Amino acid sequence: MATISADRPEDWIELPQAEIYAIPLADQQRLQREALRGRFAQLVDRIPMLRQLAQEQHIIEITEIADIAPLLVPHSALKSYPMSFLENGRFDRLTQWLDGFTAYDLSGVDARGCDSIDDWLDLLDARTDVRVMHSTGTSGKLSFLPRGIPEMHKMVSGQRRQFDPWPGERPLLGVPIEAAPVIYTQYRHGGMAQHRLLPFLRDALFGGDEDMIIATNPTRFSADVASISGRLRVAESRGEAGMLKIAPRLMERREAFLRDQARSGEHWDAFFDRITGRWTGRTVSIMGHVPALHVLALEAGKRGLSGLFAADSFVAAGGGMKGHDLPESWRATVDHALGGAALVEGYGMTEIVAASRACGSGHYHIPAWHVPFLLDPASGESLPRTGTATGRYGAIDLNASTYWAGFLTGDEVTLHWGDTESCACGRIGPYLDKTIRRYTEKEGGDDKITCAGAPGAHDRALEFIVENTGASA
Amino acid sequence: MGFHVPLIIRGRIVEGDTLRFAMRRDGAAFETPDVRRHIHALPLADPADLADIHALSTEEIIAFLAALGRELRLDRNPHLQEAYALSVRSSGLTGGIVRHLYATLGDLFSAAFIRELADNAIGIDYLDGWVPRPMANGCVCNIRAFGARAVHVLAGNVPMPSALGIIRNAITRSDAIFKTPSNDPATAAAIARTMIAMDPDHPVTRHLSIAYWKGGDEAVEAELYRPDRIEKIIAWGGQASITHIARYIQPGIDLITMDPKLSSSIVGREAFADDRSMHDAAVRLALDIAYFNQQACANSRVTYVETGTDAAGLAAANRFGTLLFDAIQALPETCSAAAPLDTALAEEVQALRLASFDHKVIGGGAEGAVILSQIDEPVDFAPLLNNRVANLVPIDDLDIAVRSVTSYTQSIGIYPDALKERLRDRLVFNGAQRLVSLGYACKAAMAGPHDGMEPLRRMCKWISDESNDPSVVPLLSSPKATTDAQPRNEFA
Repeated sequence: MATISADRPEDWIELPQAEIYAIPLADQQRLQREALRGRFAQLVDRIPMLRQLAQEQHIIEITEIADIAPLLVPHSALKSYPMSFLENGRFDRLTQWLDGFTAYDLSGVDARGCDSIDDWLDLLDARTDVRVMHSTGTSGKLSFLPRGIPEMHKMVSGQRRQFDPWPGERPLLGVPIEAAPVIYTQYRHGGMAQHRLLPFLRDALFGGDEDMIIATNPTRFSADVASISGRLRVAESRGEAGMLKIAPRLMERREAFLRDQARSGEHWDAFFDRITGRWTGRTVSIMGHVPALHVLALEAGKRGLSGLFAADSFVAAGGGMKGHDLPESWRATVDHALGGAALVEGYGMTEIVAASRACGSGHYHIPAWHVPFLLDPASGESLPRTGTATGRYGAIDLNASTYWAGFLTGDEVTLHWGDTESCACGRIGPYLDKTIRRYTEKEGGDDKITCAGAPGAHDRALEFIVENTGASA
Repeated sequence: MGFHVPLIIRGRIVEGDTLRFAMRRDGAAFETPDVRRHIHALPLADPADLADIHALSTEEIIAFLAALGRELRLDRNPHLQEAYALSVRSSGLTGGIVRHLYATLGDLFSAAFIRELADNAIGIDYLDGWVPRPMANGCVCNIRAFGARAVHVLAGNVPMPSALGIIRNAITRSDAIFKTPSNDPATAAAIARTMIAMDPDHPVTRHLSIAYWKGGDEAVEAELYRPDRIEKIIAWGGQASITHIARYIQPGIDLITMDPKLSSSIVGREAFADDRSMHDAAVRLALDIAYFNQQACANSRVTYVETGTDAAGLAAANRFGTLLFDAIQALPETCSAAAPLDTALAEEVQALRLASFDHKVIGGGAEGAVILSQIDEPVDFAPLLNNRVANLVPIDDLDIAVRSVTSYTQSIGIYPDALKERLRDRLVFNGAQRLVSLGYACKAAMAGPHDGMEPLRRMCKWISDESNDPSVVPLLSSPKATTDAQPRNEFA
């Protein structure tokens, strides 16, 4: 087994599953404790937000894993900028705000010329090593996470590691990762985590061959449209849709939106042409989720296509099989179109570089570089790090060296710490049950579309913009 | 823990065939009879049965309500005690405030208040009989306000809507079915049970039914919301409640909405002239923000302060914020008390503290918080503000405060009164519905308009009985009629 060092926790993700999940629990905890101490010391003076939080909590160094709990940042912090920055095109101020979250110095970036979020993201891509990832914005406001180039490479490693063999489990992908094209059931370009990952996958796995990335829509998922779509949804739920103001820049882009909408059928034709020309019956890796897979299957059906891929293809089915507003026959429709490959569930979040895939026993195992926390949802107090318990999930990703990756999610999870019981699959360390839900859902008001709902919301926002500008034209 | 709430249909308590429902907080639940099994008894079958309550004078109704108020004493009314016990768990208000609200609930039924309400909002003459109004063309138009068959969809943040609904229903001589909210299924039932104990056959008792069903339950609502059964729906609550009801709206059903609203304050530059004025304004503003722990629609959430946004202006606004925070902490427990913030709000406040250059925060725990904007705009999460979290926004120009008003604004507390007079028309054009001296937002003139309308007048059916003497008002066929200078009252 390769030796691993607490000084370089970003290397741990390079270990194959057989090694990282074989580290004895006590060693995992020792390594994590030391690595957390190092990460905190390294970042506390470089990231203003972390410095402020540490001061408030009177934390000057980390001696125990539990010391990190008060330093977990609520996910809402990533959208704590005033909305008026976007409405009034104050991208200089937005940059200043973002600077508080990253170890990179953004003070030299002049964003005064930007007139849209997409523009701003492009500017940061061109001028800095920050690759901002935005959320779906379903709460009405986009979150911005300033991932750096180093962590982008770690996302690729995470992608690779999910296909490592594990004794007694069917391989998730029947061919080497470099041999399977990535089928992406969404917009090819954009600023969300997966959009950001695609070019890095292309370059690292496929030697830059764009033909190995096959997206159902070749255009860009616009952050500006996502922002409108979230605000629209919130406004509608409050009965205030009529009060939404649309930025002039989006009004001007109406024609482009209209053209793109009209070409939806063409995009699908082109997508299936690329598939049938080269990949029919072969092993592919599909990045999707259940509703998108269903749409893909319906489009295939319209064109008389079925059994598209080999059964040893990998099909990521997002967060799960339940809770979708789909006809009961969805599974049969998807299997018929794709060719029967297993649908694999995963648990991940933008803040963590890689998702965990369900093991043979149906659990999500947490690798050592991803340190979990469990909190009482009402009091926010840490729950004991032993046994099995249900609570609010928090985590820190030790891969992150350019931003503070300790976050509190809005998810309710059941976590087994792996000390009093272990999973039948044999992996060592903490693991989660599949029964993960958002607290907002539990409280009855689900105001969050997961990434599964985002493209639909995007399309609805386009319609809104089109109608709106149409009415005022 | 389980609570039991009866179904009450016109003075009769219905038990049995219960269903269990979750309340909104802390996993508590309550049981109540399945309304679907009694759906045919719920609407008033024969509209002529409203005759009994129309035979009462307003004074007789006031006397009954005032006697009811004397029975609504928390120390000796077991039904009210039960409702209080349930409300403490579900309302989101602290125990001291809930106790105060229930302990003073009976005061709302004072004869003087109800008489003022009936006379101001409608006019007792119009309730008690036909009022002759001579028209210019000689016709005598007799006008009377009649009751209607109504459903009240109640909100449950405080017990007052239940009590006020019962008073309004009685003085308008209507027949009401109250659909109670899941976070307060018991208060209206407690008042109705007290009425039954007083006199189960009194017409006021007999024209009140109290039921809980899950909003949107088609088996109930499709049966009930029909023009032959219901003429008016008075709906409190938000978009979700209206969305269910909107499906049933058709000619013959009048929907009166009491929407959720947000309120704000404006503190003019006069408040910053000297320490005394500043202190006075802070004490008043504290009440508008923190009374009921900021759970009511009249509570101020965002306050615009005319300090200016230069360094001196920000310093004055920030100092005012400190005075305000202290004034909130000094309020008596029956008005306002420390209570844990909702997680979502607490995290928004924390996020500002960690990462915003544009905000300062005083407090942030159970004691509440004052968020000091250092720019001339409120926080994005302003609609979430509650449990004594206020946002002060410094402005150079009062126009910013005026333009922030929308049709979702209810009350605006203003200091000083002279500024209120100067701004009021412009605030109203933008959507404000109630302007009030700073410090009095939660002491509403309840006999006045509500949410920009006069709901009591709308709850009535306004009927005319027109008497015409052909020697005074010529028949339409008469040659004289066509040359008459008066407009022809033809309905084509």
